[in-house]
Amino acid sequence: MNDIPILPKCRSIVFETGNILNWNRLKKRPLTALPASEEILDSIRCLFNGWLNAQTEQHSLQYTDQLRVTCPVQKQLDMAQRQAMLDDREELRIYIKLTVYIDTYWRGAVSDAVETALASLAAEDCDGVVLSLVSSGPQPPLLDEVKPIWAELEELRAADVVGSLGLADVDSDLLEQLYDWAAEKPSIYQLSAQAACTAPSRLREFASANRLQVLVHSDPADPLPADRLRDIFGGVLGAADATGWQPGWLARITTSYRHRGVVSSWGFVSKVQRQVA
Amino acid sequence: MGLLSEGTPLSWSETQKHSEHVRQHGIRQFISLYYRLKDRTKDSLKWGDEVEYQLVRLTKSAASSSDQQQQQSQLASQLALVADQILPELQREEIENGGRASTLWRPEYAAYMVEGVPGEPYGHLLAHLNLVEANMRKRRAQVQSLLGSDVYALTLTAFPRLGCPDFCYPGAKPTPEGGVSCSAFLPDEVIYSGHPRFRTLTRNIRERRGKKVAINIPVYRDLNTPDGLLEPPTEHTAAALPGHIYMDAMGFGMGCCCLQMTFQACSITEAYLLYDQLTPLSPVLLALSAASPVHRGWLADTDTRWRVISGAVDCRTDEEMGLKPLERNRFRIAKSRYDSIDSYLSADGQAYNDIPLTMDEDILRQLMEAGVEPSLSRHLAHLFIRDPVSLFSEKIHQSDTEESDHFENIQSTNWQSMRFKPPPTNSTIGWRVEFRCAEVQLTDFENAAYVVFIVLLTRVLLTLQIDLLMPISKVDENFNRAQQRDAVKRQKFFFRSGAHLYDNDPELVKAELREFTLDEIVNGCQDFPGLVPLIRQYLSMSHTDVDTMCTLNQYLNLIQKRARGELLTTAAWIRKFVTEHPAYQRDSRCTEAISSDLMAKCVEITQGSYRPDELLPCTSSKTSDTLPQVISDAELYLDNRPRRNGPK
Repeated sequence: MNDIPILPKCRSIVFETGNILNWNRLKKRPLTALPASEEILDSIRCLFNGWLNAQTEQHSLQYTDQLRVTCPVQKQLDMAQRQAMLDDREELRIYIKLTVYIDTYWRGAVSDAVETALASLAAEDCDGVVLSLVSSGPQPPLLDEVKPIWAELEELRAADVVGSLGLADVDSDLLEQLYDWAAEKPSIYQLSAQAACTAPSRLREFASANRLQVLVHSDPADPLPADRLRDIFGGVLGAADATGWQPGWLARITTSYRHRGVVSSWGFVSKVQRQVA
Repeated sequence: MGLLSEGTPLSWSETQKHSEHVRQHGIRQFISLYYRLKDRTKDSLKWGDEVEYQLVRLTKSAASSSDQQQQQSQLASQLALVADQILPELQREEIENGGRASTLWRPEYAAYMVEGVPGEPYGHLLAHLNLVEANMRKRRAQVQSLLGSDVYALTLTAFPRLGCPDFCYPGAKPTPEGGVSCSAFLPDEVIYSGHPRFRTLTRNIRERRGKKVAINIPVYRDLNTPDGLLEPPTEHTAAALPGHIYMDAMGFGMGCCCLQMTFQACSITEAYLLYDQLTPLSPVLLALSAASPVHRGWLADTDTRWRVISGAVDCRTDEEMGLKPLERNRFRIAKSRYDSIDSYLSADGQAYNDIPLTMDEDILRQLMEAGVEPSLSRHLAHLFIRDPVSLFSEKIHQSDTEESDHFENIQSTNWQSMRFKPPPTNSTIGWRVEFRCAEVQLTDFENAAYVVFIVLLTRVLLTLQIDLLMPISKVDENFNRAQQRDAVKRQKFFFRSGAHLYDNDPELVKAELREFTLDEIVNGCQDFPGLVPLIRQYLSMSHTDVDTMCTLNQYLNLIQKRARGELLTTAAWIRKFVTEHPAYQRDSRCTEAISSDLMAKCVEITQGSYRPDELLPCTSSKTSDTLPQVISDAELYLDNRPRRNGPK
């Protein structure tokens, strides 16, 4: 670790894991059950370290403004899966769980996230996006904060880039308000797996009346806390590179074989950003 | 098995004359099937379970006793030989609707047994897992509704006093001098008589062997257990071993109930993979589901039915067992027709086939010349060393291309821990794998939990593509250990460690094989992530609806607690009930009084009116009869929706 920053001009990094299931196969990481809150962060750290070690020279990084950090080792395995995607899209189901940070949201961020996610799979469209929101403070998101984000999803839905829309973890008030306002209604509501046996009756009744699937997830509420992000940067690159980074969005991508209940790929793409003088 | 076709069974000597004919045409039938169907792909996941029930009659005991020391139970329990009376009614909906019904029923070996399966296979959605228990409840209710007020449909692996005096109703006497079983304990009336298949199998196995079957299970030694022979010897019990529970008929084994599952794979290659990867898991499931510690009124030193059935259908002659030099028989055969599998089927699995495989070389040659893969050829050449033990005159002459009864004849009388099932002729069904070890539990909740656990494991294996294979000799060693008394708590099992779940090097794997407790295998430890944590990882990547998740949490919770020893296995609970019963004399005997009280408790547990804390958790699932409409609609929508730049 040194005091000279490696990426002094960099304002935006996209992390792209590829298929994390392949990481296990390539022994990039032992097969253990990490707690959900750690999995994303650990994957970023792994990915970043691997990427850095693969850089033959670091001089050009001094000028880099935007960076794409991908997994250097598993091109071949991923290529085979990309080919399968092109040949056999009908046989696959692609779902994206999109976490948007309200604080750092910018118009176009959702589109950016979904298109980046699809490009990482060589896919043209996905079967569903479930939106999860992280607000800045302790108060839950407000409808007005959610509207522009949802509006972007509606555009993607209208263009058939996304097959269905969903929402995660919002309280019943917001769910019902959004449902009322939206042109394209959510068809999925996700809540935490811990709460599966005790889902509140107001939610269940609303879902039942409005044909919402109520599904569960095991994802942490905030998968990329800014301080943990900065720790990772500090650990991989050095303290000089760690300041200012904020999460932009995180798109978790799952691809499954239709009608077989077998997951073929799981991974994520994520954008983090900072201001630079 | 499907609806049994009627027919005229041949005698054993007649059957034997056609033995080679059946084998030769059976293989040709397989080759024909193989060619037509080996390249099938994209078959969806469909699967089903089979549950077997025993019909138990509980009545107030006729003999009231004033003998305080005996503490006679007020109840008597017997097996009710009424399957032939209720099956026509159970099958009525299916027959009237051209084979379709919400539940399907089949006879089983014993006149006190019936088998029920769901009318339609379950599908690929996680939400389908939430239907299993409700369907099982429906089946049980259906059977129960046809039974008299004092007869109960119990999912009991082994009736404790099968073969003891007065154990069945209507009463019947064993006929050791003649008849079909020639048993000193089991009357022939115990065999289902609505179809000749079971009596034919019984007689033919006995005649082929040259003597009645001999099952000897080590007795549980307690303070007052008799030394030497458990019972005074008679001319009909010469094969009894000292210190062992002796049984002498097919009915002791095939009259046990079990829980089976069949999965459709998307291709033949996936079927090989599932068959192989489930194999190291079979002893794990056997130990976890152990439910039969009592046989013929004696407490055994084992907890499962496995050795009992293995001995019950062992058709091997003395020559084949290596007790005499080979003269009239062709092969030394290491195992009974009912036992664990002898070889892996996948290409990668071949390196772990380390037990000698007895094969019919001519059949092997035919299969290889026909282009059937070597591993599959060897597997079939091994299955086909067996003689057919049942043949119907109407079925002797068959088409090699349009029919498959000869193939099924040999295939279905190799009763192994796994079965590899080709697609049937003239159907849309694909390559399938059957998982056959699990013992059946008392409640639908438990049975659904075990079934769902195994289904989830298959999805995890295919998703994570981990490799559990180990030398097949070690799997057999695990099988031995899995049957032992309290195996869950007292045994360790060979298992592949976490560091090698992705290794391709069999030598490395063999060198580093470790022994784990069941708790470590199921719940995880330093060296292995744990089957349940792996399942949870899979679930976190999948779309699970809230009710299904609640149900799955309950099921996984049960499995975890059983593995940890926090909840008893059914076998441990039964054993505890017997040994703690006031009438128990520390002599390993499960008397009529103890057995009847046990059966009464089992009825209460089944009905939900009694829940032993040490056996069952206090929560229940959110199982449902039907898929939520919103989920099936979503699937339909996704299958048909327009895509950007897509063909639709």
